[in-house]
Amino acid sequence: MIKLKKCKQLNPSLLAGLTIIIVISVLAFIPGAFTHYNPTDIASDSILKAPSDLHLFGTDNFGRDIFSRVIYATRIDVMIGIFSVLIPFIIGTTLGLISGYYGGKIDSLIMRTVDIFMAFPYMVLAIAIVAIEQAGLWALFLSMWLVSWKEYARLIRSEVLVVKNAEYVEAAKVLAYSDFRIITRSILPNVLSSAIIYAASDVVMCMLSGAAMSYLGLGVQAPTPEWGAIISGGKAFLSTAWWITIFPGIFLVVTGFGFSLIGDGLSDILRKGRA
Amino acid sequence: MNTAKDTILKVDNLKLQFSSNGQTLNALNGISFSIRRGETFGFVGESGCGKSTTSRAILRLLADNAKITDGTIYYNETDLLKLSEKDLRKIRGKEIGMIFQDPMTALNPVLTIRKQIFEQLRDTKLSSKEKEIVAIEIMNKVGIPLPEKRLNEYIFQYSGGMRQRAMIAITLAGNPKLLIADEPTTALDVTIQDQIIKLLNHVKEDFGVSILLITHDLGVVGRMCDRVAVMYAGYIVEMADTYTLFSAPRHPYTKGLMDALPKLPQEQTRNEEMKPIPGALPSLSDLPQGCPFVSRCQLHQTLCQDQLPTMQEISPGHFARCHYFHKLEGCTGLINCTKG
Amino acid sequence: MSDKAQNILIKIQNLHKSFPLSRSLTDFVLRRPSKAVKAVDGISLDIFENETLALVGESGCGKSSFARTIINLYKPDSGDIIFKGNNLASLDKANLKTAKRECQMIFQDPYSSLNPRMSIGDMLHEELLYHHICSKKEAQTKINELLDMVNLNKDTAERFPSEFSGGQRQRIGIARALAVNPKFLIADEAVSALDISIQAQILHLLQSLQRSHGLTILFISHDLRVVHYIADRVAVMYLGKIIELGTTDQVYTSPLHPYTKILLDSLPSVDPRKKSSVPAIEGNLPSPIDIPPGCRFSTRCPNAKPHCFNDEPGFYKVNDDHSCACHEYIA
Repeated sequence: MIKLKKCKQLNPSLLAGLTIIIVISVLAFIPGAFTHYNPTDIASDSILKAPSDLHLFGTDNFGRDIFSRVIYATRIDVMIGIFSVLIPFIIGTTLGLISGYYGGKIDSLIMRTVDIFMAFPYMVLAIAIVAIEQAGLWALFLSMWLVSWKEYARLIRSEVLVVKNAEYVEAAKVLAYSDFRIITRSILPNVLSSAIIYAASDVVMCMLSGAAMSYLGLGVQAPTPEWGAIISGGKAFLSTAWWITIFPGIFLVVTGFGFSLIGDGLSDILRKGRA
Repeated sequence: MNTAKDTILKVDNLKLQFSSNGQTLNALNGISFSIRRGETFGFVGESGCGKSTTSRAILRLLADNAKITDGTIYYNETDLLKLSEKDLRKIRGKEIGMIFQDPMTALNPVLTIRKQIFEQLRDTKLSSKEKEIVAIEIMNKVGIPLPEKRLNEYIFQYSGGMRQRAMIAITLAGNPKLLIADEPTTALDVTIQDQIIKLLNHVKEDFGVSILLITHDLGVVGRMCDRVAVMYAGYIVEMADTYTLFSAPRHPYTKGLMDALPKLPQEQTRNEEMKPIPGALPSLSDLPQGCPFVSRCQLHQTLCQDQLPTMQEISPGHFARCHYFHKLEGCTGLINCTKG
Repeated sequence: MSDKAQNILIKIQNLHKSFPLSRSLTDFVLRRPSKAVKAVDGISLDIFENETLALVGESGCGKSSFARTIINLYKPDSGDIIFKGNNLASLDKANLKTAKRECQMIFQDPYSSLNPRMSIGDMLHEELLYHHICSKKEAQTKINELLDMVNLNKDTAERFPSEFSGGQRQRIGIARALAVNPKFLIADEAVSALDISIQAQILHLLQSLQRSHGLTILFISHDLRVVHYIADRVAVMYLGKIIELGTTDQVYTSPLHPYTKILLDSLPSVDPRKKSSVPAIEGNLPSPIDIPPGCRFSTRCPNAKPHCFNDEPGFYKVNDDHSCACHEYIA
């Protein structure tokens, strides 16, 4: 959708964001290339070692190499960020399109559902789901999906309400196009930009809540490496072994920063493209 | 010909550029004109010709990417371009007032009309009772019925034509000597437009103001203006009193505009079909070296491509920027030459 | 006009369309009846093949709603729209698609009438295939033909709407409308947003395309100059109704309805020697929510008689092709 021509105007923030995310993605795909330690191997002879040549980021209270744990956790954290946004993005966009385009009773039904979900506290929902399922990645995803689709639905709906009165949509109706074609070809490309911009920042939020859930013990379970879980595990040693919490924290912040920059850069480009 | 005392505004060689996306747009390329006391001076041209930019440059109401590169703008004896922002504020509204195309965006929607008129009267030392009297008088003069009641209303409570009247009332409350009217009737229906044109003509006499009218509509020019300048691509291409310009245009662009205007049955002086001007406006970032109108002109010759024509005085008070103006002879305009 | 065969292409009978206003809570509690904007308030009109019929009136008179109801963008409340023997108001889906293809529209705003995210070529390609105008193989040739027809370069196809000026966009809009071989074309203020020199170009283009394609045009405009230039017949609309209908010459040289006379008088004359100081009419168009009883123009009419405020006039035929809704012309 973003034509190549526009990519010539790659702005600095988008460029910086993409660079960060590409580096992070490389770590996520081939963690083995950067470390020879197994992230879950327990070594009783090297407990709570400070960062050194041997262990770049030091070791934790089980003697596990923090560097390899952080690197291996990248995959799962990026996955949490992306998948917990992708599904709600699709669901929310679809519902928002239907709601905004048709209006009337369907619109009321969808928007009232949104209101109900708005009123529901996210953490309570997450805990409830964990109670039904059991703590783990699925529970994490499920609770994220349930809470974040509504923002997309509202955002897209409000954009559709503006765009559906544009003369080019009327022109499409005059050409006897089907509703599906009008929605997907005439409306969707013109309402998507703000949702995409929102999604880029939402990835950050989701990664943070994913980490928070794991920190609370509701998300990813030990010994699977996950940034939030590593930070949580290190909190007892904060004064003696700072490296356990600081390094995954830095990775979390940098990745979040990368996605935010992408969102920022995208918004500049996509907004410019609008008539 | 006319002394400085007769002239309220004199603009000389005004040049202005916009920079956008690394490009430089030459929006005004040496605009010179003067407005006499008590006259209505019109700027006519198509979108992008610089007529609105000129009016905004006078009060320096310009976007951040605009830069005045040359010229002077004298209001009476003061060069407005040399004034500080603070001193300019004493001119805006009080000496030079402005009315816009759309009152809904030009006026403050959360203040009553009374508050906005009082705001214009803030430096007058009038008591609020006296201000009330002045406000009601102005509302009466611009033809707003029941002024006592309508002063308390907000702009959205007014209907189309009344909104325009309210904006004129508020502007007049500042007691300006020069009124800049930027497409004041463009958004209106013909019957309302007719009312507002007549009101402005009336206001000019009644308040003794001079008017600078910006419009794209030759009909409005004919109804309101004493003198008129035709603009094209940031140049004034022709300037004359309205009657002369309409009866005997001497620039091919002016003539082209008149030929492109569909005529009404009572206006058809000669049996001539409506003729469009071929082509489109040149890009302001890449103006031709010679005459800006060269690519669309019927008369053009090699000289036109190489050399920018100067403003030449054809007859007293009638100027045209064309090498071959003499090729346009006789009454080729919209109206007959015989003064009636 | 006179030698053209007077075959009726579209017959509109007693068409009504209103838009209900949402009721406030107070209205609901006090059981006030819900109000509606009567945009089209009973219009009957025949549009002949190959003619250009102009619809003029002030903003808010309902001319755009009328056009959109004819072309099925709005569902009519009541009334019939007979297009080539079929009633568009009650046609099944398959036939409606063909009928809709034959009725196309050119829009007012050159900046919002083209999808900013679609190249011109993609846009034309899509509609050509959707309506089976040509095969996939022939599409590119056909697109080039269409662009050539409206005097645009071939490279237009690869470009996006933001790269064009207002006049060029209006040409693209015309190409889009004519791509599907329509019979009937509505031009809704199609030249109002354009500069005079460009406006004249587009008017010329429309005229020549009408001749070459055998089009019937409903030309909606508030610009009486443009209408005089392009129209064969003129219908004057006031508050949801047609109040005068006649050939362009008749309407412009001997207008019947007082409103038409006022409209023509209000038009700024280009002659600076004619500066009259009395406005032709005072006041504004009444709201289409509360249409005045009797003659709808009575509230602004300079020669209103007492009965004008009570009895609604019929639509009287004054002479051949020239009719008017004013009590003065009662047969």
